[in-house]
Amino acid sequence: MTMHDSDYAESLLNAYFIRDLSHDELDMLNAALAADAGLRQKYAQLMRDELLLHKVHETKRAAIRAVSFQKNSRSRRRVLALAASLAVLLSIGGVLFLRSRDGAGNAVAEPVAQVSDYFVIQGDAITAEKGGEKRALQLGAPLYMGDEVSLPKGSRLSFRYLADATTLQIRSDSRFKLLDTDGAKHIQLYQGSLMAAVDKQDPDKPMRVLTDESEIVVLGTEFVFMNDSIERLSVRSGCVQMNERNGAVDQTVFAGYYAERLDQNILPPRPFEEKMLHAQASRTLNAQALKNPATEKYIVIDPKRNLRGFVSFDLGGFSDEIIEATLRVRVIEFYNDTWGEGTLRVYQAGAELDPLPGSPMGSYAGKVGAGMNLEFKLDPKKLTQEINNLIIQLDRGGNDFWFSSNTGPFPPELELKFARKTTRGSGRP
Amino acid sequence: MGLELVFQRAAATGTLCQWITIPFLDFPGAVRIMTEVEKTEQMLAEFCTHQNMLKGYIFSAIRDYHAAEDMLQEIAILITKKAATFDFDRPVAPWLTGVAKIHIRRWFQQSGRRPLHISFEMLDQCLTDHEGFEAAAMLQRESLLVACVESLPSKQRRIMRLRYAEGLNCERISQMTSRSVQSIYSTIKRLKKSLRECVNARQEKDGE
Repeated sequence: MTMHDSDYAESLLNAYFIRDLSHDELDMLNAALAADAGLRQKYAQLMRDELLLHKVHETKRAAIRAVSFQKNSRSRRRVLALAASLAVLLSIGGVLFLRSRDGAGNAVAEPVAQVSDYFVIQGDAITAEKGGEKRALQLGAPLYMGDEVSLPKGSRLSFRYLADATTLQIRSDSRFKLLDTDGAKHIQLYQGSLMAAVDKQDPDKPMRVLTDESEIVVLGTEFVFMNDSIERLSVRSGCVQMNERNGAVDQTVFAGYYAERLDQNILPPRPFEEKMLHAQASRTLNAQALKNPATEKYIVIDPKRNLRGFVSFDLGGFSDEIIEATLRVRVIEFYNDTWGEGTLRVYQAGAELDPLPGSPMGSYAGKVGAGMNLEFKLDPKKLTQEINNLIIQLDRGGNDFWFSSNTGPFPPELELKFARKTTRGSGRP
Repeated sequence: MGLELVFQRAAATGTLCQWITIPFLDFPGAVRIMTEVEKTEQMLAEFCTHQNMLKGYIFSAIRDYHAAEDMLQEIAILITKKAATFDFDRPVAPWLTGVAKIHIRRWFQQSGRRPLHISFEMLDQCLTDHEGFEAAAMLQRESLLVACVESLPSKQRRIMRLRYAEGLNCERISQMTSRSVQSIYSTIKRLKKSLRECVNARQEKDGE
């Protein structure tokens, strides 16, 4: 290798942890590493120092974040990972199970559930708090009775009860608590939305989901319960009872029916149907402003360059009342750009593909990261039973967003819930 | 004597590495065959020895610090479960990196990212025998690095914090600092070099 080649290889090595190298650059670097033992040594040192830089800054950052760690300053998630290893030891050797004892030798609670899936934007955390102690949840983390779990915007969590196959999916910006009960699963949903697939329960100990005013009693079923501006329970299979907390009224809601609370009343159940539409068209508006024009598989939104997103859905043929509409777009990585932040608003498009005046149909404010499904709750009253052209734009001051278009790997989706036309009744099909 | 569980912390990693030592009942005429518990103990010990190298291996491929930590923990749990059937006549380090490769490939598939990284063959050559990953050496270097970072001027410390604590890329940092992307890129390169020189100088001074 010449001196020039050697300098170039070293510059590629220095660039490796700062930017993505091209295929040609990587081929050059691999060849240089294969030929030069000194360069390989240098790489190992660079990589070691890169890891330490992350660790030093991460340790500093963790010290000032709201999530606290154990008093002996070990990361709780690392202790949990070790605890999993210890659990294996216990099962094969019958060794004294240290995990079940605290420092004073007192028994601590056994977990009742385990995290089976989660997504959170880098820098955020889904936290569980109990007894004044907070911990960040990761894949496989245990959940205990009394845990109060908070999900920041853009995150999602799935967990499974250890006693049976009951699983719950909790959506972004939700908060709930696992309540202490006598062998029965009770969840207090303070805000947000959850979807549950509930294994058959003991009739004497049904699962319950509670809000301040309502109670859902579940024996074995699949349902969605939302506690936002409106409380709405939609049952997909089985049957569920929705009660007033004061016990005055109860409604039995069967599969294919939904019940909602308006003002102080639980309305009689109505049949519903769910449909998922893929965008029939989507693109970046004013794409000529891009220096490197985005390929068709991206929707780019950036107010500085007047770039807006356009998506179109055909709702012709749907005559039933739409009671819920959720626009879902997938945030994807574009070269090194993996996140965005700001306030996004969705409007109906006018003839010139400008937003129609008036309030937006939906909005989202916050941070997003690559891999996240960004969901807009749209005002269903603003959707029409024909082709709906929607504009997504970002308020000034936000960082740009990159979504998958309908020719990309994750086409935009519109999830609709319709109230089927029928006379109001008990909810029995 | 009976079964005794001794729980002791491995020298100075402060993270995942913890030892469990179980002395066994001795009886005359016994033929010493590794039990499952002994195998698990040995596997954990091997993992502790190689965990810094393994973390570096994973990080070199995926270049996502948090994802690398998560993957390391998944591997820790997996190898503990497989310890009972592992043949300890084989070297452990290549097996660990082999397990890591499978997890890394799966991560690229699931994340949708392009696998643009130094080849596994080169990573094997660069990292598996490198002495710099020994736990005590890493810890000493880390404490020197903390002091060197603290000695940076506040504007430079901010850029390093945006890069390493907040995880921002050069383009985003350039927007936040109203400087060009190339300027940020050069600054980070220069700061890393000066921090390395600072740590090496302090290490030499400590060694005197």
